[in-house]
Amino acid sequence: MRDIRLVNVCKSFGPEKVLTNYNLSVSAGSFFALLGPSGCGKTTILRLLAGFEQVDAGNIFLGEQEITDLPANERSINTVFQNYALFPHLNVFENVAYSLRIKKVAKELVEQKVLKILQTVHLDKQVYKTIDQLSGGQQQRVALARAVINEPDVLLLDEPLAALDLKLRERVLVELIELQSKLKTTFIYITHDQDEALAVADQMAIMNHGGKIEQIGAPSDIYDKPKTVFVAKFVGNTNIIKGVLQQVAETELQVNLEHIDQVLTLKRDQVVRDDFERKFVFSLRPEKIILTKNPEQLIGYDGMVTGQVVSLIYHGKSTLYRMRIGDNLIMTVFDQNRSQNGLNEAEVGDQVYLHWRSIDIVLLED
Amino acid sequence: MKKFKQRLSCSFFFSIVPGILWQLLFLCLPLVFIIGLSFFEISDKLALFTMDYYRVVTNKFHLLVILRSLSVSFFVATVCSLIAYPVAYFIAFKVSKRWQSIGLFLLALPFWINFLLQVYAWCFILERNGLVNSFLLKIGLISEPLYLMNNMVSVILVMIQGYLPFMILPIYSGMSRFSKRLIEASYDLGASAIYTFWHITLPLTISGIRTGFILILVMTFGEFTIPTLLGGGKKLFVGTLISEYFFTSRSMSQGSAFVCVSAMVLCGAILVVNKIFGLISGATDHEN
Repeated sequence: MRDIRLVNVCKSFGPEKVLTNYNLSVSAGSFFALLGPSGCGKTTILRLLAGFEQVDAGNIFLGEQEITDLPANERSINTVFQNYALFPHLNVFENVAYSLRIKKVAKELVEQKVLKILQTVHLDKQVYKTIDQLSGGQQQRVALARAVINEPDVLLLDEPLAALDLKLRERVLVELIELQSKLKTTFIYITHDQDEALAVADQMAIMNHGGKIEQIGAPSDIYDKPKTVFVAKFVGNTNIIKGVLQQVAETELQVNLEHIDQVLTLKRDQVVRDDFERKFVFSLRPEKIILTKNPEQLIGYDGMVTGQVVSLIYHGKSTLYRMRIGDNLIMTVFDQNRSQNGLNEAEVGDQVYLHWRSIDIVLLED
Repeated sequence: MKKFKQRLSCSFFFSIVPGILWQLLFLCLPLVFIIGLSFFEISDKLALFTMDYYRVVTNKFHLLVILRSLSVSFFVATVCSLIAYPVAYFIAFKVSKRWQSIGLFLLALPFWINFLLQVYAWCFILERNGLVNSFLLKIGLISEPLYLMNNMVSVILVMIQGYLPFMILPIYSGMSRFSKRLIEASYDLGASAIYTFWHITLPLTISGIRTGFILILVMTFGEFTIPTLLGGGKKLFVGTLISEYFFTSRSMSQGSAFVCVSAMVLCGAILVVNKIFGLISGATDHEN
């Protein structure tokens, strides 16, 4: 197993600069998700890693080996393509055996390996079928088997679930996680779907337009401690709350949160910049807020504000409320419908109370 | 709903019937007529059944004509596919969208000119004091004009020029449906460019060659214009011999029998070609 690193990579297509001084390192054996909106350059990174595109400047390393100029067919990196790119004139067996045939592996060994990997991906009943006889999910698994049979150092997955329906996606996600922990291959999973990325990855990078990496970390870190407004908004839903600096003490600063009447105390080392800007931005996740009909005191919940229900969407297991706070703030609240007589009978126009813990309010870089 | 279906089948009926009638009237009927004619000796009032015509048109002379036409057709189709494949590959994969449409336009350009005129143009190029000879004389490469016309080489050359687009277009259309992702997938799995070509690109685009091959085989087999104008008339081809029977010697029955025999040979040739291409794509599929 080898780790993979991109160092100061630049790539542009004509006048459009897709990546500038891009750095990324993915440690060996991890399930790494590269998450970003379409057009942010994540597909370009995949194509650079696979060897389908050449960098304009910079280097790519696989372990200690520099692979920047190595052609695609000599890299120990394999790809699961978005639309699978299975060979339509070959059957399942021959598709999976393709890379072994190139290496002129002995016939018996080919058969043994192919049948084994097809068993792993639950395709042992489809071995000699043609590609167009398979369902979308089965084709996806052929693509997976074909890519991992050679035991590459890195497996690239380009939006592998995009063509599957919702129910199937969840099953394939679980299978992918299991397969990765079995093979111990480094998986680099490219997607624009934050739920998929949170579900599969043990490390993930959030990319913004222009190939800028906003944050790298474990999914729970990314979700609970987003660093920037972009990350907070892109990964999950959030409420953005603005704050104005009120007081500066030696080790602390006090910030007044607009519209929700709360003064938040920040440690000085939480604030990255030295020249404290007077304005701050915070994130508060909708599910961290608890609703009550009466102004109760909830233990640990030190923030409270009144709101009026603007609209609600009932999801069965939960309800999503949009609340008006004062005149200028709309907050989203996600309420679990734990009991049948919870708050879900709150109607549009009702007055309710929102409670939160100030530790759930996360300071963002703007 | 039912009414709608009825109306649909009604309009469907009227949309296909004219076509079918047309085919019956102008294709099937003459065909039946020709087949009938080939079996009957027609005198003033009598029509006697006879196999004599077939005995004549299967003699050595006639079979030689068929063989000559067939081998020229095969040769032309083979050369066309060898030239057309790289050209189509280039247009489909190596140039921008804009140049693709320009390339296709240029390919279709010869169809704007009457085929007869195209062949005549070749006469001006190849004749004794034509373009090629005057050029070669001028630069002093030859002292006597060459005999470039009225031989097999000129017939084949002009056939290749005239029918090449019929090979390029079907290959191109097959290639434009072929996803480049498959080439990338092949590289990704460790294949070289050559391996990828033989195992992925060629098997998936060979159906275009098959279509073009059969198209050219059929069209050149009965070709009349080119052998007449450039063949010198010494060597007979299927097309020229048929015209001989129908317009010069006016022995319709014998001509019909010859048409039937050569059509059957052509059908056989197409079956063989189909089989060969099936084997090639099959062989590349399941090699090793």
